[in-house]
Amino acid sequence: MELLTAGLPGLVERHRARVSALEATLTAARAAADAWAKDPAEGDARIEAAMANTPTPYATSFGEPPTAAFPAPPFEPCTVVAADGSSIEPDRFAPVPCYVLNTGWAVLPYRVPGEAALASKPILGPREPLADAGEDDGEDASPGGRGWGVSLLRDIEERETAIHLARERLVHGPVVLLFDGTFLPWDLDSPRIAANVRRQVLRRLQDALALLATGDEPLSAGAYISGSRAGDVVTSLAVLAGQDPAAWLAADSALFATLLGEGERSALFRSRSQRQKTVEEQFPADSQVVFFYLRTGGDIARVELPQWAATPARVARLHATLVDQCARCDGYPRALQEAHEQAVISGADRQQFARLLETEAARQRVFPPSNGKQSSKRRRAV
Amino acid sequence: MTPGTGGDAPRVVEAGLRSFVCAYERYVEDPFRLGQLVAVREGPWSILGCVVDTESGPEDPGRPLQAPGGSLTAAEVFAENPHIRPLLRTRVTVVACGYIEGEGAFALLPPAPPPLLARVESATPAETMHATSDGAFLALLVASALCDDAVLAAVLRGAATAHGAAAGEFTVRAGKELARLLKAEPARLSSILRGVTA
Repeated sequence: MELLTAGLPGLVERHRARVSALEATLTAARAAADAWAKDPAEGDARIEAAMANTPTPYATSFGEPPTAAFPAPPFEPCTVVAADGSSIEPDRFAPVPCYVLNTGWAVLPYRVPGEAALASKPILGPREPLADAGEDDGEDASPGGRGWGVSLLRDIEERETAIHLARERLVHGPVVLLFDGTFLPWDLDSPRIAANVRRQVLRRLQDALALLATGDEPLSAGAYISGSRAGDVVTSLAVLAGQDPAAWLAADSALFATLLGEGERSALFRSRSQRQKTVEEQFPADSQVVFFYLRTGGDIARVELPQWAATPARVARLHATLVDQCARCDGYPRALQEAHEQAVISGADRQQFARLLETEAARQRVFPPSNGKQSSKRRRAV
Repeated sequence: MTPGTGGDAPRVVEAGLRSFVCAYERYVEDPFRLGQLVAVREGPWSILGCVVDTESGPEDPGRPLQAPGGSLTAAEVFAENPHIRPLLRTRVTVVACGYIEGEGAFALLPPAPPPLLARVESATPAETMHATSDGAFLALLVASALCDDAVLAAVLRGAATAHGAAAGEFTVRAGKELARLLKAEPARLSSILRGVTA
C-alpha cells in the first residue's frame, strides 16, 4: 500500500491537467452547439452526411434547439412504476447448468389512489432444454455459456413486468414508467447470444412495447442512465466543429454540465448509430429512441424514451417526476432505487442457492465435473 | 374496529411452546394491544396467548428508518413517501396461556407450538371467558419472563371486559389466584393490582 500511496499525488495531478485542457475543447463545443441551434436542419444534414458510414454513435436534433435548457415543470400527482433485475449467471462448475433471474419492482402512488407495492419474482431457468446449437446460435451456446443470454432475458423480464404494472395503474391516473439503463437492450443483435434466444426475446419485447404504446393514456416512459458516459452529442459537435471525434470530448455529460442548471433537462435528441439502426429496425418507427440529459445534484443523467412518448405533455410529466424522484432519494429516482433493492440477490442468497442446487443434484445422483482448481479454492487449507 | 383485526391477520413467524411471534404483512398502526388475548385456530387445537410486546420497524435492519425534518404528521409523511410503509413490519410477541381442544379449555402449555405461518386472530369473548373464568391461566403468564406487571394488569383488565356483567366476580377470582401465585412477592402483587384498578 505504501508503494501505491506514493503514486497518488501524481495521478491526481495528471487528471487535473487533463480536465484543464478540456476547457478549450468545451468552449469550441459550445460554439458548435450554438451554430447547430441556429439552424438545426442544416446541422443535422451535415452530421448525417459525415457519420453515415461510421460505426460511432451520434445524435441529431429532435424538434428542440440543441442548446436549450428546460426547467422542471411542477410535479403532478401520478403513480411511478419501476422495475430492475438481478441474476445468478450460469456457473460452469455447478452440477447442473442453470441461471436465476430476479425481477424487482416498485409501484409508488403519489397523491393518487392505489396501494404502494414493493416486490420481486424469481425465475429459475432454463425452463426447457435449448435446441442444439446451430450455425447461428452464438459463439458460446453450450449449456451455461453466454449464448443463453441471461442479461438479455433479465432485460425482457424487467420490461414486461413494469409495462404490465404500469398499464394496470392507469385506472388511478397518470403513470410514469422508469427503467434502469438503456430503453432498448442492445444485446438483441449480439452474435454471442444464441439466435433462438434473441428471436424469442425480440418477440416478447415487440409485444411488450406494443402494449406500452397503445392508446393515448397519460403514460410517460423513460430509461434512466445515471452518470452516463455516452458521447452521441459531442461526436456530432465534433463533426460540426470540423474536429476528429476521437480527439474530442469523450462524454456528453462534460458539455451538459456547463449547459444545464439544477433540475433542468436538455433538448431532445435522436440517437443514431448503425448498431442502433439494426436493433430499432425490428420495432415500429415510433419506438425509435430519443433522449435528453437531466441535471440532478452532481449527476448528469441520460434519459431515453421511445418517440411516441416524446410529446410535450409526456416529456414534461417525465421530467417533473424524475426531478421529484431524485430529490426524494439523494439524486437517484426513488422508484428505481426501491426496485433495485427488491431485485438484488445478496451474496448469502447466492451461496444458499448454490448449496440447494448441489443438494438436489446429489439427491438425484448428479455430480459436477471434477475440477481441481475449483476444489482447491474451496478447501484453502494450508 | 377491534384492535388487531384491521386488514390481514398477522401470521406466526417464530413458534415455540411457551411463546411465539407473529408478524403483519406490513406496518399497522392498530396491532393487537398489550394484554389482549389472541388465538391460533389452525392445527388440532386452538392455542390461546397473551400479547406481551409489539414492535414496528424496518424489515431489513440494514435500512434503518430515517426521521424526516419538517412539520408533517406521520400520516402525511407516509402519504408523501409511499415506499416507506411496505418496507416496515409490525411484529407481536405472544405468551401461550392455554389451549382449547374440543369442548375443553386447558390452562396448560399446548402440546405443540402453533404452526408457522398460521393466522393469529383476536380471541372471541366466548373463548376469553372459557379460558379465563377460573383464573388458572395466570399461572403460565406469571411464570413467563416475558410477562411483566403491566402485561398481567392489562390482560386482567381485558378479560374482565369479556366477562361483561360478571366482570367483578371474575376480577375477584383472578385476584385471589394471583395472590396465591405471588404470595412470596407482595410488592409485585400490589403493583399488578394497582394496574388492574387504574
